Amino acid sequence: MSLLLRDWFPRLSMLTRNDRILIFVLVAIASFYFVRLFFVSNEGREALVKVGSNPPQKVSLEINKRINVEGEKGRVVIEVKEGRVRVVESSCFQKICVNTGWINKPGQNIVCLPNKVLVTIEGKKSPTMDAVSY
Amino acid sequence: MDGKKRIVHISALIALASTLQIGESLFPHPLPWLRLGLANMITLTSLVIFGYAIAVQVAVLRTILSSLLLGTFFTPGFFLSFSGALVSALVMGGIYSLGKTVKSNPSSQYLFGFSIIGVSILGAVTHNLTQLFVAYVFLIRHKGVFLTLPFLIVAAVVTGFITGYGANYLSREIRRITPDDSKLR
Amino acid sequence: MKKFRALILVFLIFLMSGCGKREYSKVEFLMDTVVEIRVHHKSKAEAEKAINNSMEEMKRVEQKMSCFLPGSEVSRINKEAFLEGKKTPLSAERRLPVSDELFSLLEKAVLLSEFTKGRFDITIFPLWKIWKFEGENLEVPEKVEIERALKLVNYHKMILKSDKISFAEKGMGIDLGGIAKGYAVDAAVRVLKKENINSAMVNAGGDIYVLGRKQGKPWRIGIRHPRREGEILGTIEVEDRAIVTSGDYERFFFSEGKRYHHIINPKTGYPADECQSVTIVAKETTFADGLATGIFVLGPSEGMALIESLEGVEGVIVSKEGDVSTSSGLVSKIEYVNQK
Repeated sequence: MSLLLRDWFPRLSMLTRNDRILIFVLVAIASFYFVRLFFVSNEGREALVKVGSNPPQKVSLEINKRINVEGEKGRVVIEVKEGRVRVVESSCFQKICVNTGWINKPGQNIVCLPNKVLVTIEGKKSPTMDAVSY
Repeated sequence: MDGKKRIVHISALIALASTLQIGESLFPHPLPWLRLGLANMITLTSLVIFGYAIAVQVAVLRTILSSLLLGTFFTPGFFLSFSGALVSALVMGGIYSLGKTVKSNPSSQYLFGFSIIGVSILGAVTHNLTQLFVAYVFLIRHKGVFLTLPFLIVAAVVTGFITGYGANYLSREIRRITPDDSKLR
Repeated sequence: MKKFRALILVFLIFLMSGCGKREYSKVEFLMDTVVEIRVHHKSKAEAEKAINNSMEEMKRVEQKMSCFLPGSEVSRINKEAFLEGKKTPLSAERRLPVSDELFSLLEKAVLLSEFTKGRFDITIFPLWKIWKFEGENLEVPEKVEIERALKLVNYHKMILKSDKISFAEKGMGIDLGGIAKGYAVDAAVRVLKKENINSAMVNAGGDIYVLGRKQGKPWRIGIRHPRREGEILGTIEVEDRAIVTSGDYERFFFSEGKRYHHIINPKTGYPADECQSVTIVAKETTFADGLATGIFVLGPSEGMALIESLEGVEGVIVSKEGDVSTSSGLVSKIEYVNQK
């Protein structure tokens, strides 16, 4: 076994110009994605569905589907289509939730109080507002 | 190096690679499919000493052997490491061989403009990206997996560095130990 | 090589930024609305503990103050007050002891009634009962029913003395709907403060209290546009304040083409229609809640006069025609979206 340090740790100058370019490019790409991670993470691409006192469930807005949930008064059908979500059917009386229609932006929500069902869009609300008083 | 010695050497390399892979899997991992890829060191060494075809075989065989020993043969994890090892071996081999045909100096460390470290990094990146891709297509069809991209790339650069050093040292040692042979490049 | 090192450094800096207060929140269905508690804190464990404790506190308040839950203290009082026949109902002769917490809330409610000249009145229970906004049969009650109930609505006839309550008339009752959410929010904030939280927001169906600042800057709270769905009237920058809005768009039903909403005028027996919405900014949510309800009934001119006369209280009133008026102290802190 060689005991020469030279063989154990080839000098970093062994790295060619191409090597350094490669590393630079890779780290640049990684940083780009890294930054993207912090600023563009799941905003507006996921909905949160909360039924009663159960923990909220995440629902991707990218996969079209229909979800049935059991609200306090009965069935509530939620539909995801083309990046938007709405309540299609509800066992409540006033159907305010159904009449709300489609939502797709963070901050928007659909509520069915009799059934205790809440659908919101994941993500920060508009950077200019934290909540709405109504 | 005659045929028998060759087989012994290659088998030793496969065994070494498998040991590295198995040893690596004993470490806890935050991301299940993110392997350090230390065994790539052996793939690269085989590439330098025995050439493209052998290197690919070493890579494929070590994956199969390790998974058989670990009892993970044909599990999702196996397919991940298999595909990662295969593709990265092909890519590393490709770069290396292309470099060889371009540069005429056989003992040169400079291949296609890259040193062995560069090839190793490229191999590691390919390895991780392939694994990510396979995981997405065949296992977790959630675009969220791509969130791990930055970490995978950085990890690849770092491990590529390490395996590159390892391969460098290893290939030098093997050359030193075995007498000059036309089979060795 | 230097370039390489520099890049690694930049990368590491990226990694380290954002270490500090993080946001933790929880949403629950409470008091027949959606309640959200949001906290900015360094420690996840402490934040979650504070959030859970304040949620529990709000549940406790609901259990006590709701006139719908049969076991609540308020329900007990109302039951005693309505009982006819066998037992002597709650009247001048028979007085019921009230817990300290409820008693001080009742006293606050009386104060609010004084300020709003009776437009905010918690003795509205008999009237609320006949309007049935929660039920499935949404119809306008008969005029005679309303007149009969109106006779029982008068906060002067509620006697609060030495921690006991009694009513001057048989059949009276109390409904804390116009103030309960605000009180629950204040209770939650008290718990948060006790748990060493200094940056939070409690939002109970639009009744909001913002504690401290959000990441060094005041919280930005929007006021919902009373007529345009999904739009904002304006945004207020606040810290350590309550923001409560009463609007005619929250709960309502249509009957024969006319809209009936849930803020009943205790003097007429019918939904108040002087305003579209009233937003109050004050130091206490309980107070803001009651004021918003009362001023909604009181109307824009008297309402604004009341706001201006009260120290530490600011507000926005949207009249029934849609005219927006802002109190003097709020003008500099509110940013309206295109006028009206």
